[in-house]
Amino acid sequence: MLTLWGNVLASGILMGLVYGIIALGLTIIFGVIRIVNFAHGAMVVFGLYVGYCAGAWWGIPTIVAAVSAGALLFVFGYGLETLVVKRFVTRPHHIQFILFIGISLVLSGAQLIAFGPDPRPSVSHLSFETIALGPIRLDLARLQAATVAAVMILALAAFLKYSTFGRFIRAAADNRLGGLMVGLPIPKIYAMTFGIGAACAGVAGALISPLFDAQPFLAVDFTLLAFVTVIVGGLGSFVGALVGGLTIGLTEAVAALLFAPSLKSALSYGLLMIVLIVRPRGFFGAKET
Amino acid sequence: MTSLKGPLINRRAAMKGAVGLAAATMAPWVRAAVPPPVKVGAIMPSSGILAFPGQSCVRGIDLGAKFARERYGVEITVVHADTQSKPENGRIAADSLIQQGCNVLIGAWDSGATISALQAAEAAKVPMVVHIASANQVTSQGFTQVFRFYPPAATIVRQSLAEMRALVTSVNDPPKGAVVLHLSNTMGTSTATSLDAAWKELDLPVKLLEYIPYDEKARDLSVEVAKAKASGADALVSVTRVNDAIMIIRECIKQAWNPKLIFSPNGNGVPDKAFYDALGKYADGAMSSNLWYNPKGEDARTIVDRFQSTYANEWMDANSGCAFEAVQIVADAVVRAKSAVSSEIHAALKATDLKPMLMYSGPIRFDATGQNTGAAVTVLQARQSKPRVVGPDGIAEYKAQYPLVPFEKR
Repeated sequence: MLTLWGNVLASGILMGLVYGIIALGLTIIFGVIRIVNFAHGAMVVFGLYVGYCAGAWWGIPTIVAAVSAGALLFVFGYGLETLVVKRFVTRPHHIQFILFIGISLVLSGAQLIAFGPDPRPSVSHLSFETIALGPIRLDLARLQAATVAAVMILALAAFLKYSTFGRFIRAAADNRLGGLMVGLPIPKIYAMTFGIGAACAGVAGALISPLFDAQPFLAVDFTLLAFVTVIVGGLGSFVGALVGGLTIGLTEAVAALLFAPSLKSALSYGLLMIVLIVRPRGFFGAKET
Repeated sequence: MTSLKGPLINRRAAMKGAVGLAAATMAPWVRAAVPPPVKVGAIMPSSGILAFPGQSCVRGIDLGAKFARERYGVEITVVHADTQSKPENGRIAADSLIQQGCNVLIGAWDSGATISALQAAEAAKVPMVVHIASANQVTSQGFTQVFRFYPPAATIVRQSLAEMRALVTSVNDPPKGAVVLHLSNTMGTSTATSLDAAWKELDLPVKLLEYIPYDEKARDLSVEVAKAKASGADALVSVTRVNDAIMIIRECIKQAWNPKLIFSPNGNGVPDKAFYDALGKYADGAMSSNLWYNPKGEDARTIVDRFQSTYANEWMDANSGCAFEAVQIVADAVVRAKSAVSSEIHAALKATDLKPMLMYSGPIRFDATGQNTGAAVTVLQARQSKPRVVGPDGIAEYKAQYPLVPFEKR
């Protein structure tokens, strides 16, 4: 029984960190630009396809595919913000919502045209590998994704704290108008931030490619998952994304073990409702002023 | 110019008239010899989570229509509709197809979508041939327009467990305990319920230890498989779609669980190409019982070869096979009805007595509830990266392999 609990908790923690990395890009963009990227899931799926193609067509390791997906999505995100999103930054939320739903549909449609509706399963050896710590078996693909999530968060935190451009980003996140008045390059900051957020989605997508079959219809699921994760953890907080992911991953794992596995999703959404009632800004979300 | 003095009807005119009259008299005969064109609405989950089997069905329908044109001379126009893998869209798709003038419907793969589509078919009195959908409710709710080729979950499970019983009683060191991992949707729950009843009825000498239901959209089945392993079972009985069948095998490998038998009554995975693409050598050994083409059937080889030449990268599987057969059922009914009117096709469908062309089955006949009474399952086992028929004995290509080779030794 102890072994079962140990394995289930380990699986929940690793899955939670995977959820965290999926949510990371969404929280970065919201934290700085204050818009909710509803096309986030479609960007994750884009990364998933990069991971799939890299493995199935060229035999490239997942980690290399993740770097490529990050670079591709950064360029895409930077361009998208510069050409489209910047015109909507000050628009009402419902208009932004429609814009991003539109972008999501276009991306999913493009993926559908390019790859068809069939699920594209990973052929990576990581899909079958674990490492054993005594009786506990750790899924290597999840461990890799979780490690990269931790490294990405540390790297992003260091970039924001110690680099000049990072300080610009933090200043723009704190006070956009003030930033404009002191001459900060706000359009460039926003484009970079959107690019970084999109890159995080791409990296996450490629990293989870050994775990999930690539399919265009997953976009909605990933957007919803990222949304639930950041709301639980706190919109705009990096640590919140990871803690939110961990909370949901563990809730699902324990719920599956204690109750019926088919109740996993119901319980994670139940948790979301409790957080919204008790602590609407999430575990690490900033208080609204 | 006609002479006013001559006879009004001369010999030549009389001959022309006679030929014309004969042609006019013969015309209905000529018309009757050529079956009328029929518009068939095909409702499938062509996109969404069930897109993989849905697309396979679409291929079966299209090839079936071509084949029926050649064999029966029926001009079949197929109109496809997509449920997007959402059960509630079955009715919307059926309504739309009926509005477009479809005389008969085929669909809808998923039991939920099928029941939903049948409601629209029932209201419009348009017959619907259900090529795949196993929930008992499809033919137990009093629908008058339903003609289901596929057996209900209860029948397929009973036949499957009878085959499983034959296997476990004939091998050395049979499994002692089984765990059931099943979907919690209409098909999964219905199959699990039937499984429970049939297990007791057939008195299987394997103890049923636990049922573990899981959500259709589950992203991760590690906990479910950990629970299954912890139950102490050495046989895994699963009721799955393709994606989750892949996830379950992956988790078995990761968690170093090597059941002696993996058997899926009425499940997907083993019959599907994606299963082998994703799992490679780890797919081998898993078994399932499904409707499948008769590898020793007269026409089956020709049809499978034709499918292969039309869709080079795909397989003729249970989905495309059942869809193909459903089109032949419709074509046969239209020929006998000599009409494309829905009510007349309905009457002809009721009187169907057709030898299946492709699938392994008895004669296709529908009982009062619309259920095909001839439906029969085959037992498939993944061998050398292909599904092979291992039962019933009369059509078996291979002898069943038991126990499974442990994953780490492959």
